Amino acid sequence: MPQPSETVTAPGSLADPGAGRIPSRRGNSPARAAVKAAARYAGILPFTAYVVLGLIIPMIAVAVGAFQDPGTGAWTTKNIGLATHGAYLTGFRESIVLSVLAAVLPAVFGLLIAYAIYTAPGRGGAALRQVTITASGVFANFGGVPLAFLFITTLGSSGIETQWLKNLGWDIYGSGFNLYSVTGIVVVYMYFQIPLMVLVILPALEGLKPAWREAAESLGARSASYWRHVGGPVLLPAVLGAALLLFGFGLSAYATAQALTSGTIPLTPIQIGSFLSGNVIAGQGNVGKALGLGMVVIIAVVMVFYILLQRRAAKWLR
Amino acid sequence: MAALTRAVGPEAKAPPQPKRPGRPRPGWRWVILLVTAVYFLLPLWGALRFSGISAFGSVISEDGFGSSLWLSVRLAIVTTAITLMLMVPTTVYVHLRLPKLRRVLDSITILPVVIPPVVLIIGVLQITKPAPASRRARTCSPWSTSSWRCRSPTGRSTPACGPST
Repeated sequence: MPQPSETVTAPGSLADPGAGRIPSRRGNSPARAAVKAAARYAGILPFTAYVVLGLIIPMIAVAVGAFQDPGTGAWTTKNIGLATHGAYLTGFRESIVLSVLAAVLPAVFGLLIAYAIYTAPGRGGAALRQVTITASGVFANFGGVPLAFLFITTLGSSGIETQWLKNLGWDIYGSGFNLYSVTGIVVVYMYFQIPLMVLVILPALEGLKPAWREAAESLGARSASYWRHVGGPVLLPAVLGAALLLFGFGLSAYATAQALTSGTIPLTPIQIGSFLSGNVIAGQGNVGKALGLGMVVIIAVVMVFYILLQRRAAKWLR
Repeated sequence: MAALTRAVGPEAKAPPQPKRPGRPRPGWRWVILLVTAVYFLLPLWGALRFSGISAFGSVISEDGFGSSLWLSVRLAIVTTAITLMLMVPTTVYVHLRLPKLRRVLDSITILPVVIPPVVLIIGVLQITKPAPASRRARTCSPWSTSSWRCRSPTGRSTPACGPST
């Protein structure tokens, strides 16, 4: 009994039904099917091994370590208790506030930029699109000490832009701005978050089919009602998903904040970093792992919503 | 429907509709692009002015610059090569043979971006943990045995040796 799915033959070869399916000729016993399936999945074995070794086992190690006493290795919830109180709780709060701000603002600006490019007409628009995508690819990879340096020379207390604005009569440091605060970090993070948003959302915008717009218009819809009833709902899951991605990116960013504030702002990644460099009170060696577990839990929640939104977005766009 | 509109030709396109509707007024677009350009280019210009062109000449002869640059280049080459060798065949294979796994692959590839690298490092160290004393050297320099640290622009030595974001 030949498997229907295996008999994919060219139109001309119908006369010879045996051609092209020699492998499936000898029936398909369950064992044979299992072997075939296993062989099919063998192709992703290297990738799976890499993910298990480089991602899953370290994550398990963090989770296990979070519940162990650093000295004796006995099970304990002491680390978790320490990680969810006092300075570490403040760290989580600051990190989340920072990440939300550094996700929402770039999401809005990135969407505006992507929309400006998406609607740019003609050959100039195509060139603009190319330039923006290339530049976004470059800027999205900025980070760490170089990025901190860029902003210290520009918006630092004696930075060039700060001086200009002062000469124009606006003392930004006098009116509450500080580059080395959460606000400042948000401004700096936007430097790589906005390009990331543009790169993520532009394909979604371009997935809006012109036919939908034309259909809406031939039914008498104005621009606003098109966006409210068609464009908006189709695009919303993609935008929210991208914002969640930016949240995760901002939450895990570490070197930029570290270089900028040298640890004066309590952010969870920086606190974990101080465990790595050995600034630990005796007996609290595993609190870093508990903090890490906390971040993984936050990321896991974000990822669940991200996957749900992706599924929703893929319904119309793609 | 589409064939019909194409058949009637341009002269039949009756009342002057706002053609390609929804297109924002050009002014709106220029304001956005201008603000964007200022935000992204001004810091670059600021850094260039701050350090001066002449700094580029002297930094090359700086002690340790060559070895640091070479380390960065080696890291970049090796990680890129591993990524390509691993991901190109996997992606092609999944697209051709296991299309059902595409969404799963998508989600997995996002994980390293959103899982904080410091957490990952803690996990890796936990597994490969030798003696606690050699931890720091391992974190900062996976490729050479000499101790290597990142420096902030002010010359402070920071323990920030994670990935660059």
